Amino acid sequence: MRPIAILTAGIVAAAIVSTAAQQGRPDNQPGRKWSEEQLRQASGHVRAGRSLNPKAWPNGARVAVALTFNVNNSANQLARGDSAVVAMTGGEFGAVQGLARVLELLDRHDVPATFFVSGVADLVDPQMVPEIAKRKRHELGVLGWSDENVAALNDAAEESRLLTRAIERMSAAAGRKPAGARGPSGTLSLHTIGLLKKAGILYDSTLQARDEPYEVLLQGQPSGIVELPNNAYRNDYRFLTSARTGPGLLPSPELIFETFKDDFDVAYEEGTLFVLTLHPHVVGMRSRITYLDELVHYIKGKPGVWFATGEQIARYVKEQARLSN
Amino acid sequence: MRMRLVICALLFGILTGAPAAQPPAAPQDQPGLKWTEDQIKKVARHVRAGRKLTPKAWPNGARVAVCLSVDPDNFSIPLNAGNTNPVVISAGEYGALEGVPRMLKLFDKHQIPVSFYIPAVAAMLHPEMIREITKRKHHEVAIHGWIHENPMELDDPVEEWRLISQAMDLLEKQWGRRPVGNRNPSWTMSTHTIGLLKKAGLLYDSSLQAMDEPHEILLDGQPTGLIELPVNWIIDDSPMYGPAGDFPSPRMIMQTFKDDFDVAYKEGTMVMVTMHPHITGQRTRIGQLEDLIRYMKSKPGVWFATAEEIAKWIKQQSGITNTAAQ
Repeated sequence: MRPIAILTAGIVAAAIVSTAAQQGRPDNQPGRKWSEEQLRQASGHVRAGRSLNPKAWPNGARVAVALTFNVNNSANQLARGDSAVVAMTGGEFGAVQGLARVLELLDRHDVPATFFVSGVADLVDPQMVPEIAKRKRHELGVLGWSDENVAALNDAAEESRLLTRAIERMSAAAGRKPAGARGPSGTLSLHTIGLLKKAGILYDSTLQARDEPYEVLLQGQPSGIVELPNNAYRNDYRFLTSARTGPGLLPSPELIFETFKDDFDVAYEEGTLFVLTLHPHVVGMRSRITYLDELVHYIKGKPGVWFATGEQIARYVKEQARLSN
Repeated sequence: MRMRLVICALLFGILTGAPAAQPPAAPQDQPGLKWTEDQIKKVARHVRAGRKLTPKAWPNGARVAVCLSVDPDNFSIPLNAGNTNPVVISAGEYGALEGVPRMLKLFDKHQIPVSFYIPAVAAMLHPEMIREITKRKHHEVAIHGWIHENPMELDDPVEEWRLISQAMDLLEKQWGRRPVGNRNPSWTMSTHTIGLLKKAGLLYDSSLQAMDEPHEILLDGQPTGLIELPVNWIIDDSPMYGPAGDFPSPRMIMQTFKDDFDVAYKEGTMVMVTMHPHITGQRTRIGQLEDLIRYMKSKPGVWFATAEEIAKWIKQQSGITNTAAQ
């Protein structure tokens, strides 16, 4: 009887302790106990190095403008192993409707753009890349294999495998090796910058430390990688999706494009760089595309605007700053 | 000693959370990254958009076809989830008592035919709703699940077919005609759905989102003969200014619907607006809907039609046939 009583008491006690532990949330604020050294180390993996904003842009332009498109379509859904039929058509929209509208708009305005394409998006809809490439003036960059979240993955070997696969696929589809990369799912792991360097990538466009171009520091050392900074506020996906398909924080194209314009105005005044991040399956919708048209029209109305691809901008700033790898 | 070891092991197990329930899918769960190219293509291409079916001309030389569609879900969603909370039920009942009559009055005033996608249970519990709709003659009644179920979660073709058949039978009895159209509840489908809609002999579906214009649905790469009149989560009142919506500004939302219409008008295709009586039938929204209707009516060459009329016109123009229905 006694051992059983002890065992029962033990289980009850353990259950109580366990319940208490579950009720008390896990410590998700470990940083408050870190020393200065630990704090510096934890925030110092990838940092902004020197500004690479040139003294002058080509032909005396005041500002450089990079219209960038993330062509992920259903790649993120597929990475998560989610086969939901109707949701899949929301990504398909990018391939069969949105991209054509975007390309037509760019043709009409005669401006170059940069398309970061996920390997899987190209696999599912191989007609897209040739459509982009045949315009000649657009750039094709990589957006991971399947819009994977490399931070959650946190596995250098697996990330390297996916990046290599993405670069190989894009090289074959576009007929040349991509020069630029954007972190799939808008994230980088602690391994990413090192992997990009190893892969010979010229520039990244994921980090958000500045508005102007800069060199990425890796563990405090200049990496030679050019950063053309991205920004959460210059991204259609966060705002113009619906609450059922994304964050959908402010699904009013009128108001969101107003903030894009305001952002451009300050870039113009400061003489730096304006990188806008859009998605064909979001901005390619009928109620959104007209506002992009108006924005491009507005930007073109200012004197001294250099519309360029990410690669053209990165090569220019690198050369001006005499940056080497 | 042995007993202590057992207790320690038990304690360790409990404290480390070993007996905890199955955790929800975490963001690091990315099984698709291990899929082969064939696996990716199979999943991504199960249901795809086939050929475009926008006709060369709409009836009477109209430039654009407009379908205003209404989903009177009422409280079928909480009921399906077993939620009997009186407040929740009342918020759904608003659709039947206030929303539908108010919207019908507006459509009467502007002489506009409309498509109603009605969960069978909503029709069963508020039969006066269908009586009022049917009385108008020009509106369409089509299926929207038995009880706004989620067929993707069910993932059971036998159960799904039972619900579709029951819904068809009930609406046929109440409306007096067998429905020819479908809108899947919550715009979710199982991998069985398209096959079952074909089997039911339906003319069209209105749940997919790959295009703005009408198209034929491909199932595993094969043409189905099913016409798709596409919808979109941003031309739907629910995620925008529904009870859980993020953007409760009727004016800004209707501006989006107008902007969508403008491009459709320019492109000469079609518009499918999705609304719910318990949402757009509210006093703060109905005036904005009337503004939208006035705006559309101010343009020449706008064909207001039910989805059935649009699908029949497309069928006649393109010669498409549902192979299962022959």
